[in-house]
Amino acid sequence: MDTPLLFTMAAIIIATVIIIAVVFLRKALRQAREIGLSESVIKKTVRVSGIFSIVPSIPIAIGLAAMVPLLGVALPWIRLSVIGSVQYELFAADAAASVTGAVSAAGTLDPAAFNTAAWVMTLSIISGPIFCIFFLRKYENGLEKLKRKDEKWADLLVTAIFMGLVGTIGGQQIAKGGIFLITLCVSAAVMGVCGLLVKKGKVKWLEGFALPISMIGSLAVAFVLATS
Amino acid sequence: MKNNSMDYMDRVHRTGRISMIIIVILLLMVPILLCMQSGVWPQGDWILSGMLAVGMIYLPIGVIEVLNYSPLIGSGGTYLAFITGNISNMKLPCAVNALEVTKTNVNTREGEVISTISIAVSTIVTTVIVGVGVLLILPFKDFMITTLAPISEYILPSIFGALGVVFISKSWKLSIVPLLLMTLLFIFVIRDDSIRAVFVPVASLVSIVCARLMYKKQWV
Repeated sequence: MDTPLLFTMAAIIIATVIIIAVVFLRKALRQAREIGLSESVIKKTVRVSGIFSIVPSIPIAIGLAAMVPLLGVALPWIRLSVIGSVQYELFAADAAASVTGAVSAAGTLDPAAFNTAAWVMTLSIISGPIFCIFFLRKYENGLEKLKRKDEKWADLLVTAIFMGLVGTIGGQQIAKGGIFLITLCVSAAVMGVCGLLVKKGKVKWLEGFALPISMIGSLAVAFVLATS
Repeated sequence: MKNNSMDYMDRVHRTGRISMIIIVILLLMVPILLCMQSGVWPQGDWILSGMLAVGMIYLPIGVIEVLNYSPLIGSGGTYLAFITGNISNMKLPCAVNALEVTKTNVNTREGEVISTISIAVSTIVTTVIVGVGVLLILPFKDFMITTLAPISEYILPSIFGALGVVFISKSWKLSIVPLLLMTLLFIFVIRDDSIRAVFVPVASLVSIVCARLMYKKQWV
């Protein structure tokens, strides 16, 4: 499973992902300065994005640890660093393992089953990138036309799409109830308080930290409830 | 300035396409090299069964997610997010938060740039953390799982509780139907949590239709 070849591939792929991110970052930073975005706005974007990303990375590392017994370290490391998501990879690894039915006595997959899992996990997630390569530009051009035609509707469209995501995830957590619902409500309440402090209390520095504070505050409550 | 902006978008699409092609090739190399090295190629019926179980759901979702998320994160953000993954649980809320904090709109050239910077920074931070996680997994796997696992399933409500309240307070009328519909569906119809991704585009479509009706009636 964890062969030197697979670790070499993991290193190459992860290095490529970082290089691509740095290339995009440099181009965007250059463009930001060319269009006159202030340094403070750029720094704020970098700071809030960096801080925000720390906490949601934790379940990804946990998901990786959960896949290690079945698939080793290298393949989940690759799969969790590129495309996909932790939910998808756990689902795909499990489904691929169950269709082959070839789990050894040690709880690991035999080579044929392992290779099947690698193929299924890779092929099943490839449609998004393929679509981006061939059609994203055309799709974006269509959106651009819509934007020029009716700017207000274009803004409403973006909010409506996001509400679909908020509705799905919010509805799911409400339906689950218990600690899920409490976490959702505590996070919303902490964010509400932060918002009031920023607007009414003029605590401007809090603005960039409101989301991480809400997340950590609600997770602290979830941790206490889940472990008590 | 407009030409400059157009040049930037040309460069974004060119870089995005090249990056995507490189990543797709590298990803396909993984199973190919695994099979070549072990000399074991998977049986066709196993691949078919696996693809029916996983691909049937996730191949269409992959396309729908691009259509659904790209208006929210712009072109540069979309290429990067679909290269690195973990979109709804990380890249998208990260970009939305950065746009909110900097008071920019994704439909502007400033918003396009902010979203790309945000997702690029998020990608670098996550990749480093997961890399450190790999180094820690071998000696501290049990400790990591017992200490952090109790909270990992609550990360999503902790993100969307906070982001939800911001957006619902600004556009509460647009939130009523999708939130109510999905809550009722998750209570009475949908029992399987793992297929949530299937329902995001459905909820977005309903939300768009409702928003359009409200817009026509000048309620929003």
